[in-house]
Amino acid sequence: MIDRSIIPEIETIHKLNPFTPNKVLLDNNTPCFFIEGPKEPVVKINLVLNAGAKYGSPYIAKLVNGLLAEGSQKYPGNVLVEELDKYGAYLFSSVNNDFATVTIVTQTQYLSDVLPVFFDAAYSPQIKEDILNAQCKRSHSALVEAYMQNGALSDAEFMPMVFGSNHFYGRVSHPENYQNVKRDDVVRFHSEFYNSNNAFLMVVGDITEDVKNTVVSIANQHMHFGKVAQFPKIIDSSPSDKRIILNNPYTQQASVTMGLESIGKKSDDYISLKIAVILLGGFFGSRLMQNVREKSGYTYGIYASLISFQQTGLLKISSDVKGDKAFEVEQQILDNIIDLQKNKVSTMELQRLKNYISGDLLNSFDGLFALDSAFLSTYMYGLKLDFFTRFADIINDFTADKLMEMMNKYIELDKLSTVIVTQQ
Amino acid sequence: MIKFEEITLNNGLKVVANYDPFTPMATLNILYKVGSKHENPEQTGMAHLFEHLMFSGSANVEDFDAHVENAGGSNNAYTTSDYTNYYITLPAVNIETAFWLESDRMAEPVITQQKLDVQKNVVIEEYKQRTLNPPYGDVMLNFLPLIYQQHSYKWPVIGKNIQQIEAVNLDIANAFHARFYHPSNAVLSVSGNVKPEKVFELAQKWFGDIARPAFVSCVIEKEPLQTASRRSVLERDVPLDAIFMAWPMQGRDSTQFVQSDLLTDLLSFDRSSRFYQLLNKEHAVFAELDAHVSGTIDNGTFVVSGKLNPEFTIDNGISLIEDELSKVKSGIAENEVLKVRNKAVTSNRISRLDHSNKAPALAFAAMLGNTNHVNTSIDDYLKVTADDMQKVATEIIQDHKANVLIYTAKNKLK
Repeated sequence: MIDRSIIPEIETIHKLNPFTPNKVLLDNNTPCFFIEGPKEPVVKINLVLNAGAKYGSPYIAKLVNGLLAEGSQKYPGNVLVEELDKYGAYLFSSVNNDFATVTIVTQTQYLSDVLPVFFDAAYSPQIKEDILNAQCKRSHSALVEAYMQNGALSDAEFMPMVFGSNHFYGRVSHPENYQNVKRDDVVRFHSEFYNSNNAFLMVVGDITEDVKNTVVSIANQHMHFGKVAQFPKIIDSSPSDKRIILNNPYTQQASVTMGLESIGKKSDDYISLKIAVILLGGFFGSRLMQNVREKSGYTYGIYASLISFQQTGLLKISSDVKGDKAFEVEQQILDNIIDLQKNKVSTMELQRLKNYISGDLLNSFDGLFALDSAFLSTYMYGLKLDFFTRFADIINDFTADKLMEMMNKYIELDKLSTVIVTQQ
Repeated sequence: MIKFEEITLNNGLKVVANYDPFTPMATLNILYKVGSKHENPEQTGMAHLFEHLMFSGSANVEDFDAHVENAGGSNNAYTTSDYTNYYITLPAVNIETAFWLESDRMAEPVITQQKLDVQKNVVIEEYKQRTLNPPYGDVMLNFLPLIYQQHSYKWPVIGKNIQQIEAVNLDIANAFHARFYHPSNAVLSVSGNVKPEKVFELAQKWFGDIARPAFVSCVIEKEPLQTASRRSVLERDVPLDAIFMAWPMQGRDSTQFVQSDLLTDLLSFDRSSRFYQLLNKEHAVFAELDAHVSGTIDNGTFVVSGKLNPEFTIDNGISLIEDELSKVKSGIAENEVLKVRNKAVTSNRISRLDHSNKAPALAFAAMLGNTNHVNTSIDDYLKVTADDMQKVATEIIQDHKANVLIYTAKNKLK
């Protein structure tokens, strides 16, 4: 009989072997990065543009991005998606506050067939009035549905509270935004921000010489020139309310959202603060999960995260909780922050955190989609790939004192914004 | 091609190993052949609640997650109507930790009253978050008992109601473990940078001494043939009226499943699909329209669902759906078949990239009795013709077999 009281030995992970992208410059100096991935004949190509919500209004940026697959100048209407689908290619697009991304996943044997379609979709969409109206209608009803739930309701107040309602990171979409959209605004946004000078390309997967040559050649043939986007001006408009309580008649739970503006990825303290926030609420063993979920049973999940924007950061803590426990959870969150500010974590807890993060870093480079995310999470923020080796080094040397320092330096309780949503 | 080797231990535990030397990681996946369909109708939601309880600790493991995280890993689990699946992903050098943890909780979980009470509360909050809060969140609570009159697929995995979850006590929880959590009712798979011989050695070391209990059969009522259509109309706090239609079909291991799975791709997967083209009109009847198959092991369902734009009626919606399904029965173009086949190939290639996808896929195929199906299933999809899809549509989509659930919006969007 095996003696299960004897715990298997573990190795802690100290070294990482991050990947090295191969950088090629296109004819207009647009960078194109190639990252070797798993050896299945598939590649994922991202065209990343400085075309996020901050450059206009969130709903216009989203509409532009969503319309790219609905027909282009050379492949009008359905023809575009039919051309991609017959080769089994998947076209995605997404937009956040800073960037818009157009992505294609394709079998490498069809690369030269799908790439021209991909670039035409990104740079020359048709933006037909009837399709735009159909999209607006769908977006409107989807947002109405979202606003019946605590998450969207909270964010609609939280983001303007943290950044100011005129700040480009404080703006959120409301359903009524989709009821008065003008095609000219959509076309103008695309025309200004969707061009090859305002972008970079990234290819991950089975990278052969043939793949590289095909991508570079077709990208060069499909240049679309324009200007590089300039960061918008920050309009400072801090709101007066730091704590709001809302009612949601549709919910059976309450919710708590708390946070404040924080540091961005380029800050010297970013990695250290990130480690501290992970301990607060970034994994299952975190203080918040252990206390609010596993000890109290007040929630299915509670999370703290350090969200990165290109020009700043955001510390956000949120949870959907038992209906009558919102204020108790709010207090528990504050108590957990204060505890980490005043009391050093134990050696055991610190080692668990370090081991978890080291393993997670190792997993960050594992697989097609992980490599993709790992690269984008650094390059998009002006960082080099040594970010991950620096992370590994910092984690190895991280101390309980450093954790306390970060908690005190960057989480001032009187600067926290709080939104509580209660049941009616 | 996913290369694998497999053995069965003396106690009935099936072990599958896929070696991938190009990753520093590994995933250990353990699947138990117990899902919501195996539950007592007075104790629904038990399989899912027990999934939570498996993290409460075991004879030699006070804090399961702490050990996983100490080993640089992460873990999770999910429950379906057919099985419950647990997985740990961690640096391959620490794979033995995963074997130790999983074997200890298979052998002897320790569930205290306090932990039971906490997890009941957590699951109840999950119930509210996923089922009661979101608009349309309670659809399955109302749809499944319409579709299934006898078979225990008639209640959702989360359970029929919160009261049944609240009523679970320690005896019920321990009896559930004793009945379903043993080696001959499980499949263990490892994918990653661990050689098969090492996987088998560790499996024998940690699981080999766990006894196989006497077999206790689980009687699951067969669903009788449906002979008349069924309809239910409910008013809800939702922004748009919605239609949910389902027809019974064969289970996961059938040719009918493959043919109808590809058919639903043709109808609604991606932007060139027939349903998407209907949405993309300025005066579209539907705001959302989808088709999918349930993919359950026992008899499944072919489902079409949609949310109606406010200016259109339920009858408009049903009429349009019926029209579209009728068109499919009359003709499918060769280019449509080519599209969905090629998409299936791309999806299949992507699914083979990652150990965290390969491990559960291997376990699932092994559970169904043919592990190599992970490699051959794509061939089944590539054989499907336009004719096959038309025939399967005709077989499945028949008026007298329709189950229709309507949600009318209390305060419809204007």
